[in-house]
Amino acid sequence: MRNLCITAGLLSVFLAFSFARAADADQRSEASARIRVTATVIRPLGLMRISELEGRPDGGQVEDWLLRRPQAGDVSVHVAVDGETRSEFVTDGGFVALRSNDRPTDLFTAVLPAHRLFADLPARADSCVITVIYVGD
Amino acid sequence: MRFRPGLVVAALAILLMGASETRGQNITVTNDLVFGEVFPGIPKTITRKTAGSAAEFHVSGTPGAEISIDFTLPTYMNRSGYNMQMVFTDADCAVDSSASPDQSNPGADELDPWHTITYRLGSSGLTIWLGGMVIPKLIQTSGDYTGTIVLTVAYTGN
Repeated sequence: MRNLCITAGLLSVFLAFSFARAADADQRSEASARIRVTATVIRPLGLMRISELEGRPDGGQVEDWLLRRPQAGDVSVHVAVDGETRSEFVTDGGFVALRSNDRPTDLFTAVLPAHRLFADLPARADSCVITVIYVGD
Repeated sequence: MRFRPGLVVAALAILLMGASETRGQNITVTNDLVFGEVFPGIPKTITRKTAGSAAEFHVSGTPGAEISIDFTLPTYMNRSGYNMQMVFTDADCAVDSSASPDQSNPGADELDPWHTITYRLGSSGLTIWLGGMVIPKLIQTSGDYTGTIVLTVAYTGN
């Protein structure tokens, strides 16, 4: 009887270590997941520059674009100077003031009876990208 | 009653088995990394703290166990032959193991997703956020672009 108990005990120890090793192996196991990254590139409306660069007293530049719009409607205007969003440099034909220093990263939304956009660039700007999209009619 | 050493050993063995019980780990994707609409030539950043747009994962497993977190990050998004550059900085990841994870004020912030991150699971697991930046070219073909991020977690045994 004593031998039987010892045998049972040793067997239990063996089983315990086996379970422990299995559990340890489970702890080292990996889990992985895949997620999607999505983005939609917007096609801008056409813009045509209608004037060459003009000098400003402070050394900046004024550019003038004609917005080619086939129909009336609200548009959003987005301006990036040297890759940085700069909404404060745009005015809309002198009718609707699009200057908005307090919202430098927002899109503009404006009805444009006048189709000319003026970008008033800083003196040392290397590039200016103006993007216009319809937001509704 | 006779002393039976075998029974004592067996009892210890059963206790040892109970002490070594662990839970498997699991990852749940709560949110994809969504940049939404982007304009040609204008980089757009989704920070790790942008709720609803930043990538969000939840890892469950053994509370208190340390895990390693590894990302496989894309450098481009694709659209039928066209691509668009992506950038992940060394501070685009954040994690929180508290019972109420706070994306705006996470437990560990500005972590580097390019290198292995180690962190301990909390009682409710671990929430991971990841942001990034997309850089469309000046003449970027319009349309929907997609990419894939792979997240792998593993127990470190610590």
